[in-house]
Amino acid sequence: MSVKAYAGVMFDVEADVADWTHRELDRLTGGIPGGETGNYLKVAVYHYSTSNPDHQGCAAHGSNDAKALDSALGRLNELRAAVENTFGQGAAPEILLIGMDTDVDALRIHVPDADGEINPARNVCNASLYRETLGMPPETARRHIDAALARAEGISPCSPGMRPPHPCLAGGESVADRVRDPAPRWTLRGDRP
Amino acid sequence: MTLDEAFFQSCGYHTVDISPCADGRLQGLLPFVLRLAPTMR
Repeated sequence: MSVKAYAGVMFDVEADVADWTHRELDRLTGGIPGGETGNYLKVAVYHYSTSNPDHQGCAAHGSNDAKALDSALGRLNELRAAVENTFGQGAAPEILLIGMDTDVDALRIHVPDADGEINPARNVCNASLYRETLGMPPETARRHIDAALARAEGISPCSPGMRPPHPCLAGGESVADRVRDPAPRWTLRGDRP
Repeated sequence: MTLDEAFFQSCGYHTVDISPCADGRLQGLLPFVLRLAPTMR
């Protein structure tokens, strides 16, 4: 797993193609345990602000949420195209686009379709899922999340490997509560009666 | 639930490369929102 941040998510496609190539070489020479059937996942995370979208969004894109989303998605698609143009159809890594609301640390997950293509309109928000599932028994909540994903996927479900991470991303749900209600729920030793 | 290497491998991914925006408000993305930590290759 590796992480590198770029202003406005404008990551270097050429560097990523080189990274993908090195990892693929590692994989094909047996350097990655269990890598025979695995794939490379590239995740881009843009951000926005629901409380003040015109001023507190991504500064690199002039607080324009649509531009931030389009630019991040554009880079992801450029990476796929670059790998496919060089190494052939079907070689491209899988991609995932995530939007983060910096007001409450909520995640908007743009679900890819069966071909790995991302449509900005196909998304699920973990803060909404959290609100909807509050008080539900775990099994009911899981079914609710599955149903929400199925609605977002529509007639073109994402790849089976892509599906499990989404409920896990909803694992950050309680973070939204903590951000909204930052009152400490613990007592410092000196404050104890 | 913890997102670790074993989990991503079980999903069929040998490598996960994340590029967030460099804005400081995304500093907590990995440890606090996604709840994972980068690992050395």
